[in-house]
Amino acid sequence: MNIRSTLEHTFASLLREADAPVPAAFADELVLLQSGLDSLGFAVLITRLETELGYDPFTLMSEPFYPRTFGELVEVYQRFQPPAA
Amino acid sequence: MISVRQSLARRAAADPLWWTGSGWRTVGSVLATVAERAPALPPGRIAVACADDEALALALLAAEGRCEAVLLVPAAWDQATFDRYRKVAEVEALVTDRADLTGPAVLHWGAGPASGASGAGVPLRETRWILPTSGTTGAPKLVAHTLATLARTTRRDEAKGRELVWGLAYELARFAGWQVFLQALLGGSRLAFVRRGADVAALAAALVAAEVNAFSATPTLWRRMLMAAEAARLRLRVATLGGEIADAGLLRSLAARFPAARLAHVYASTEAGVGFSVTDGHAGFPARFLDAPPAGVALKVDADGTLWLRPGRAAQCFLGDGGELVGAGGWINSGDRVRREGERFRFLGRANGAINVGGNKVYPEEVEDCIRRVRGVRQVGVRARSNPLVGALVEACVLPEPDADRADLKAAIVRSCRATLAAYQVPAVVTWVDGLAVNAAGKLLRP
Repeated sequence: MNIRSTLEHTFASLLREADAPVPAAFADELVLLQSGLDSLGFAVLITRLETELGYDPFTLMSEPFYPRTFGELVEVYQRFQPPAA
Repeated sequence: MISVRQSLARRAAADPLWWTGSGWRTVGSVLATVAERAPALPPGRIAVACADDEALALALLAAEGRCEAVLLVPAAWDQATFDRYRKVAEVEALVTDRADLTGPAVLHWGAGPASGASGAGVPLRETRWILPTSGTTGAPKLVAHTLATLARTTRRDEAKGRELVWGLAYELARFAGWQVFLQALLGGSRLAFVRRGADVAALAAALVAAEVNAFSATPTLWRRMLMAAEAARLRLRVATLGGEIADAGLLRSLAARFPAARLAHVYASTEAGVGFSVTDGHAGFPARFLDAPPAGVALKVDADGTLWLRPGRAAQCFLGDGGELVGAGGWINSGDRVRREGERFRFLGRANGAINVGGNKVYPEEVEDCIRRVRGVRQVGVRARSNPLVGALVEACVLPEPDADRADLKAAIVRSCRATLAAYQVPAVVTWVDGLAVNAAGKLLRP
C-alpha cells in the first residue's frame, strides 16, 4: 500500500472535518504544527492512521521521535511499516 | 415497619398475587407455601442463590423475620466469587436451586412444594438483607439493608396500588429488583415475573400475557423495548427508568408511546437507597432539589461536580472492607458527575468512567447522548482508545440502522459531535459493531 497517499488522504479529510484549508499538495517541507492541525488533531491523525494501516509507529519506536514536517512523518511511517505477512 | 408477610396477610386469600409463565398464584397459596417451608430455613445467617425468580421470592418471604441475615447471590456469581463474599457476610448456610454452587450446609430450595424438614420456630426479628452493588467498574461491595431502608420510598396507597400489575424484569437479588418487588407486595399491587434474559421479544410477550401495566427498566432496556414489535401492545400506567442516565430523547419517546403513563426517572443506588424521583418528563433534575429534596434525602454537589446524598437515618452499611459507606456528616458519594445548566442539573456520567483526553475529562454518556440523536444510529457505546500523544481519545462503537449509508452516517456523526461537543469530546474513530452487550443489571457494558 502506498503510505504517502494514505497519509495525504487521511490528513486531508481531518482538515476538512475541522473546516481548515487543505493544501493543494502535501510538500515534504510542510510544517505539521502549521498545517492547520493542532496537537489534538495530530493525535487523532495517528489513531486514524492506525485504523487504516494497522500499526502506530509512535508506540513501536523505542526512542521517542516527533516528526516536524510532513516528509519526516511519511518517513517515520515507512520506517516502521511491518513486513508484509 | 410491617413485614411483607403481614402486609400480604391483610389481603383476601383468593386474590391473585403473582404471575409466572404458568399463570397466576393467589395470596393464600403463596402464604401457605411460605408458612409450610419457612421452618426448614436455619434461623442464622444464610445465603440465597436461586436461579428461579419465584423460588427466590418464596425464600425471601420465608426468611423474613426468621433469619438473622440473608445474603442475596446474583446469577452472575460463580463458586469462587460466592466463596469470597460468603466469608465477608459470615454465611452459615446456602439455600439454593442451583446445581453449580456449593457451600456450608446446602439446603435445596426450588419453587415447588416443601419436602419434610421442619426446624423450630424462632421469635420474630429484624432480618438484615445483604445486597451486592451492581457497579459497572470494580469489585462489588456488600451493603446490609433492613426492610425499612429498602422500602423507604415505597408508595402505600393501596387504592391506587390495587389497579397495578408490576412487571419484574430486574434480578430480584439486586436493589432495583427489590424496589419493584416491595412496591408490588407492600403497595397492594400484583407482580409478574417477566425476566427473560436478553430476549426482548420474550420479555414483551410475557408483559402482554400478564397484562402488566407498570414497568421499571434501565434506559438501555427501554430503548430495546421501543424497537420491539411485540411491545406495541403494551398499555402502561407507570413507566419507571433507573440505573442509567435517562436522556431527553428517550423520555420524549416513552411519553409518546405510553401517553397514559406516569413517567418517572428514579435516581437510586444499592448504597444510598432511593435518592429522588423525577417526574416532570425532563432529563436531569431540578436545581431546587438541593434546597428542597423531594424524598427527604439531602443532596449536595461538590466542587468537582460530584453528587452526594444523605439519607438521614442510614441504617445501611458496608460489610467487610467495603470502606466507609457513609462519610463525615452522613454523606454518601454517589460516584456520579453532574453539571448545573440554569435551573436544572444534568447528569454527565460516572466519575470513574471518564476518558482522559490530554487532561480533559470526557464522559462516555455525554458523547453517546449526542450520537444517539443522529438519524441512522441504532445503538452506540463510547469507549477510550489509547493514544501515544494525549493518553486516550474517544472511540464510538455504533450499531447502524440496517438501511443506513455507512459513509454518510459516519460523516453525520462527526459533524453532529463537532457542532455540539468540545473538540476533545468528538470521537476520533467511529467503529461499526453488530451489537452492544448489556450486563446482568440491564446496563450498557461499554465495549
